[in-house]
Amino acid sequence: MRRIWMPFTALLFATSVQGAELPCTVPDDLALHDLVLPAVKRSVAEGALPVLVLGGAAMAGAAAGDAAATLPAQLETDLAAALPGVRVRVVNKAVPRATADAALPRIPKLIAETGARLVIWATGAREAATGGDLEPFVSALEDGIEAARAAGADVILVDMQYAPSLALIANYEPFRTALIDIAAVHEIPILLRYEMMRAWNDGGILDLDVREPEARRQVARRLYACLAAALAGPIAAAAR
Amino acid sequence: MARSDAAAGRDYRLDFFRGLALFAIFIDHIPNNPLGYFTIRGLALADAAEVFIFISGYTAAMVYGRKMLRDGPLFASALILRRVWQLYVAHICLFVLYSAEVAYTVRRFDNPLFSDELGIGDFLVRPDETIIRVLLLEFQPALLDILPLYIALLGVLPLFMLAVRRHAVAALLCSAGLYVLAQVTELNLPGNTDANGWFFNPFAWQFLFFIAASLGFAQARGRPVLPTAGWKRQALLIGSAAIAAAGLVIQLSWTLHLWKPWIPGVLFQSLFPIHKSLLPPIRLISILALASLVGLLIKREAAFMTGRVGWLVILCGQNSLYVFCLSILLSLLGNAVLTFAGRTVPMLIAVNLGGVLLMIGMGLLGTWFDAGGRFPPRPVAAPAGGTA
Repeated sequence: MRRIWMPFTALLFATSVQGAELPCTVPDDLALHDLVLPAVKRSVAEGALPVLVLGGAAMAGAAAGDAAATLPAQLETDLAAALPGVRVRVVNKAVPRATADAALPRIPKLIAETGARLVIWATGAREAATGGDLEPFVSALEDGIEAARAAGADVILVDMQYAPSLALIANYEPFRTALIDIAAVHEIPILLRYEMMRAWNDGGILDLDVREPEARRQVARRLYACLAAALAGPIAAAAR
Repeated sequence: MARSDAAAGRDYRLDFFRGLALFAIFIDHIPNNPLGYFTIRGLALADAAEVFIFISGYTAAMVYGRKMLRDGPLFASALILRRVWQLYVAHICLFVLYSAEVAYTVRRFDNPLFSDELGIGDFLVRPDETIIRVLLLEFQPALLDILPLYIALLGVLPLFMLAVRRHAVAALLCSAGLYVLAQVTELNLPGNTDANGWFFNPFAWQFLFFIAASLGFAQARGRPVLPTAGWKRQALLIGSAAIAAAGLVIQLSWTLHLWKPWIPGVLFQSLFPIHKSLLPPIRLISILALASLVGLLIKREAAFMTGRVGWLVILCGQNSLYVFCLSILLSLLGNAVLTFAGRTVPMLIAVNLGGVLLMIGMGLLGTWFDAGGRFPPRPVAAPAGGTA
């Protein structure tokens, strides 16, 4: 029932608020809380925070149409604002359609190159879309986490994007559950991007099914800003 | 399968549990379907795929084994290969329907926000390459991976039956050797991409199929393997029950752990994720234990199977190819309905119930055709004679 009325309520807001956007607040049970990021903390104490972002097309950010509007770029801005006096640098090394297996061998090299003390790793979408066995995904993910930690960086995982229509043909659940389980087993934070996007979409905050190209770009930019904010606040709090 | 073996006394357990497995395949293939926690995969360390392959191997070897003994190996092999061709045509037809759904979805929802990330529908961009890969059974999208396995296994069944006829133990040892080789080297046939092979590794899964086939062939020769009395029966019963019970506890604890994280997931760290592609020994042993339990404890014509409701399940099992293909389409369709209408409880009930009813309808239709436009009567339950 609620879904039937949703477009109407969204329309109501759109006309009555006159273009003002609803804020993309993160529901409390989805937000990152009390992160423990020792490498980040030490690095910030020394006045710098190098961050490495790994992921697929959603992190690479072509949908935003502008390098400055991608999630990693907006995260850099947010972190710099939250940590005055700290040299924040977010390096975006996401590759569209990258699997965890493809990212794995790059991790030690990229950390050495960038000096990253925090790795933000979004993964699982490509595996879920192509379907297949969980086992290779799980072992690549676990090896990647170990490699990042061994190179002296903290890790934050990011699960898949919520895509209301493409759920028709891709089954995310086994891979998303595995990501959440692995984060729990290794005691590392995971940004529940899927649930956040679903909440924003269902709450009329972001229309993920919009069709017109320019509107799609706007939605992508806004989405990346919302997700960057959801990461930046808790990371900055853990760094202080 | 041929269904005129009245003289031999039909084993309705095969039809019944294959029917249940078909329902489970439909239910399990709808993402986020709560009912999936109550199918076999939620209650054992094996799922409907193992049940389907085991029963198919057993039934095929029993039915075609009888033909082989009566009409000779040439005719029996020809019948098997005709069946393989039917399955192949069904698979191609399913693929075309699946592609149409993907093409529609990609065209309608092509949002760069998601499409670059997922790469769904990439195979439609290169139809020249895709078509050949589909015909070679290399390209197997999700849900369309079990029929190719069955096609490959049935294709080599004539050779296996000839070998079993010569020397059953040697034939099974060859099969076991290939299984071990697959476990160690991950030997596989080429799959969707050059990097990964078949989802159901045929060199691993053939072992389950041929174990079942040798049991079915033994039945066809009138030398059933399952002990019916004595200490052997007791030992097999106790061993199988223990394995099944352990599997039940482990699997239930995982499900409950997902639901309430404070409930411990027994052996979760060491067993999860169970590598389904390679049919590891733990899955193989689980399905064999379940099969033994059914073989030992349930009568061939038990009343719950030949009763009014059970009979409908049996009819689905007897028309397994049609019902199977329908179940795959219904999973895709059910997921589409739930995605658009929302995963509310009433919608979930409607989709699950509607799907099962349609599958039963297909079972009835197949039976009606085969019986020349009428429904054959249900068998009268054997007089119980005091014991159940």
